[in-house]
Amino acid sequence: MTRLQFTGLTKRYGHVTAVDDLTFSPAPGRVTGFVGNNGAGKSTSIRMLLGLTRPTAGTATVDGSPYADLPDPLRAVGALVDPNVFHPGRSGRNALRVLGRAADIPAARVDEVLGLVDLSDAAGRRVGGYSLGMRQRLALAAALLGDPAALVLDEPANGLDPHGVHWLRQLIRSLAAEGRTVLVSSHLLAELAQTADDVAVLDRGRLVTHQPMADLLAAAGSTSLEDVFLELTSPVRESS
Amino acid sequence: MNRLLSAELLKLRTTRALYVAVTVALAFAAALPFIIGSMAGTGDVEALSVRSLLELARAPVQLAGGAVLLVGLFASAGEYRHRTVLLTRLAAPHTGRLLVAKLGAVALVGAAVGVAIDLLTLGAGAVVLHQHDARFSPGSNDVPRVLLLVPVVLALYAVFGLAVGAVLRSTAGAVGAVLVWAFVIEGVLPAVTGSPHLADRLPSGAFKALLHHGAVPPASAGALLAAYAVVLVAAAAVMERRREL
Repeated sequence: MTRLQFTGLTKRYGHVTAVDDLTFSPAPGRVTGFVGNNGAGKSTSIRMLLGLTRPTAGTATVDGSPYADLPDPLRAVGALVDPNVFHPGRSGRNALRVLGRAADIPAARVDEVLGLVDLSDAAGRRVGGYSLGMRQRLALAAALLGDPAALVLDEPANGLDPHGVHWLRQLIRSLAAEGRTVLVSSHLLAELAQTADDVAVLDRGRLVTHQPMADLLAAAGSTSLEDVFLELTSPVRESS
Repeated sequence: MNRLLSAELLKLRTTRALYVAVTVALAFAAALPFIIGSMAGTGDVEALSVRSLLELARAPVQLAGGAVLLVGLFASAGEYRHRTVLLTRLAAPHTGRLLVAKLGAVALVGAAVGVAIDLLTLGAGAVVLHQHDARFSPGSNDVPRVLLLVPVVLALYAVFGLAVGAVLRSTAGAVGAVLVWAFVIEGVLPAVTGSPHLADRLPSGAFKALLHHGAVPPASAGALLAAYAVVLVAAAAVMERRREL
């Protein structure tokens, strides 16, 4: 079981505080929904966990180590940060082969995960011809390539059709049932309410709450995660 | 490190840019001896002689250098253009090791292109010199030294391209910067500074000096190029380390 830990995590860009003293730990074997408005700091927090962005203060660790110090990062954490991370001229299979080669993952695993995300038939085609949903599935395949003990998925349902969303929900549930730690950031609150065991709510960089979904809804006397979320958070005023 | 090098080589092999650049370089190298041969002995152009093989060996280096420089440049800046850098950094979070693997991969490609160009030059050169009744003598007139240096020079061009691409991140910006440097700055700097010999010590001039015996001895030109490479790679390493994604 892998433990992801955010401790006092803070990120400032000049005078703007994107993430403010974030401390929480998604539980292993459970799906944790990571929710917040645009600009709440979800993606920044995830990128700091993955070593893509440096914290201003605090730490984000995987089993006590920064991501960059992990001896075998793709086997420890599978991450989906963006569906548009593939060279358009490379085939889906080759995109994963490159990743697998860098992480010393057997080539057979590439075809295995392509089958898992239902992309076997399109594996030889260039990614430039893929739909957004197909790129999202390929990004999910990349996250699963190392058969990781933890998964960090930033908006994994983006671009998926209703069948895809249903398939994703089942996949995420089954991955958590295998004992993996699953952190899912999403704006689809109704969908997340059906998928997540726990929920962490960010508002303007600060953690508002982190508790089991059922407890959160019960305490609020509501059956709607969206209603509770709107109560807990303030609307984002976008500058014109 | 081997797995990262292998992944970087696979990356290069699975996109078109490598094949386009290498095809252009090799086609040019194969055609050049025939083009030079067709002009030899006409007008003011000297007829081919036993010494001509040396010029044939040097002739394709600049264009082939440009082609492998682009390979290096796309290998680094292309990662940002297509955002593949995100996946690359997830698999290889240590930016120093990643940069070394990338440098190794493009240098190997550059050296391999250099060997292929040498072979093409020798093959085509033998035919052209025979057509012109000139002796084909690859073991004389400094030819062996130049043939040995061509893969080294092309590996260096690829390393320069990779480092510039890593510093600037933008493929278009990096191509533009290289063109401005090669065709404007290197031409203007010696005039502005009042030091005409400076041209031989700037990168393009040093590449040329390495393959010739001119004002700057080849050993000094080699040392200068190594110094330029170290500076560029160090700048790339610092930028890659500092950069947030």
